[in-house]
Amino acid sequence: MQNKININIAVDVAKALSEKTLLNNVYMMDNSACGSKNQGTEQLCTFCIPGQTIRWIVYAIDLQTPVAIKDIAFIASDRQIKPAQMKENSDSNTVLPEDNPDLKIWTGIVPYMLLGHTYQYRLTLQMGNGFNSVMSLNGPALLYCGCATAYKKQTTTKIEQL
Amino acid sequence: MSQEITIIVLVDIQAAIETKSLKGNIYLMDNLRTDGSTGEGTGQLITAIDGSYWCDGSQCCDVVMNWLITGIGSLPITLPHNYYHTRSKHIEHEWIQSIKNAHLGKNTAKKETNFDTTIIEKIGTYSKLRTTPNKVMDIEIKSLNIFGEHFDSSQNTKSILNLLPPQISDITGSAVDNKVLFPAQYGTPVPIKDGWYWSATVDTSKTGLHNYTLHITLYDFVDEVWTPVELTYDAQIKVSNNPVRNGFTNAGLGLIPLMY
Repeated sequence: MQNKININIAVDVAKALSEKTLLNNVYMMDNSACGSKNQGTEQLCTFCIPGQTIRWIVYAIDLQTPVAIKDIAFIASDRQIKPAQMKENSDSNTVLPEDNPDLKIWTGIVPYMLLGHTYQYRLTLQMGNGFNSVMSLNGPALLYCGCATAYKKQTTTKIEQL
Repeated sequence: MSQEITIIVLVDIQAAIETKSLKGNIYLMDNLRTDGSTGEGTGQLITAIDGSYWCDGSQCCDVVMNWLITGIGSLPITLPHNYYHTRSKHIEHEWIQSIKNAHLGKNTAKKETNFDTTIIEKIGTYSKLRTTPNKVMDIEIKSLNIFGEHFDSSQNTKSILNLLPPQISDITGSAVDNKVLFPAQYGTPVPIKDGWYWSATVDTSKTGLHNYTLHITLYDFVDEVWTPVELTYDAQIKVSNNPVRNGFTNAGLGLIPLMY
């Protein structure tokens, strides 16, 4: 079993900044051996098991525009959240050099999780500085799924698609 | 992780040619203000370059820099490669058409003048470029004004002449000599700078302030001949070397903070 999962986040920065939303402008992909749901969308659900290391990596689709992960915050499960909700931060133009998000690596070990429970997180990205440069997205999630279950789910969805 | 750095170099070509210096006539800006670049939009840009290292001391970030140079008030660099050529062809086509019309009697007013002969003289003549002090060659494009129309020096003032775009011809200086900056010219399918641009990689382990020199070629329009004017300008990069941290723990690897 592969012990590392990479979650790659591709961001269309120019479009996100002009539309002032991350909705439909973020594409998330992972290489989880357990499987995943909604690959290529901002609703990515990564199946994982405790003990695995997950690493989030962000890429700007246009190489010359800056983007970095500012925060990844898990959301309490009892809270009702609309998917892909956009949050604006008006104080975003005060960025101290020591807060440089470029120097942060977002990686961690999956702790004990409830089987079949979805852990949604809020992904906050920083694109340059100025107004609307910090935007958040509620939608991606982690899911503890026994690998057999994940495999079964994948095959059933494939059959349904056929 | 740092993204690619792009430095936009804006040159006030006419003023630089007149004063024979780029000082005060050049404006530089990059995309790293969040990382601490200073002097954005002035001639004193210091580009902040984030080198970074892992906890074991190894380098984890290499940086790529690009320079895009353009003239203030010139035709935009985003125009297609062949814009000058297609415009020149189009202008000739228009002239030929107007001669035809004049001969067919559609344009009687111009038939009276020496319109035909002046135009006929111009058809097939192109701008000239001085390659060495004694040598001049055709460059198969016509002189255009800032609206993309033919520039006629006998009728128009020089202020609306579209000066040929400036070019970076080399990048040298102490940063290159000390093997901090490794510059080279690359080809690109992107429709900028005739498909060529200058790029460099940076050895981010060498921290501190480093100087480099941009060699810029401008083209002056002297007696209907484009004459190169070679100028240089000094710019700086500031390489910092910081340790990377885990975003969740602010230190090393830990558990993902799930909410239960």
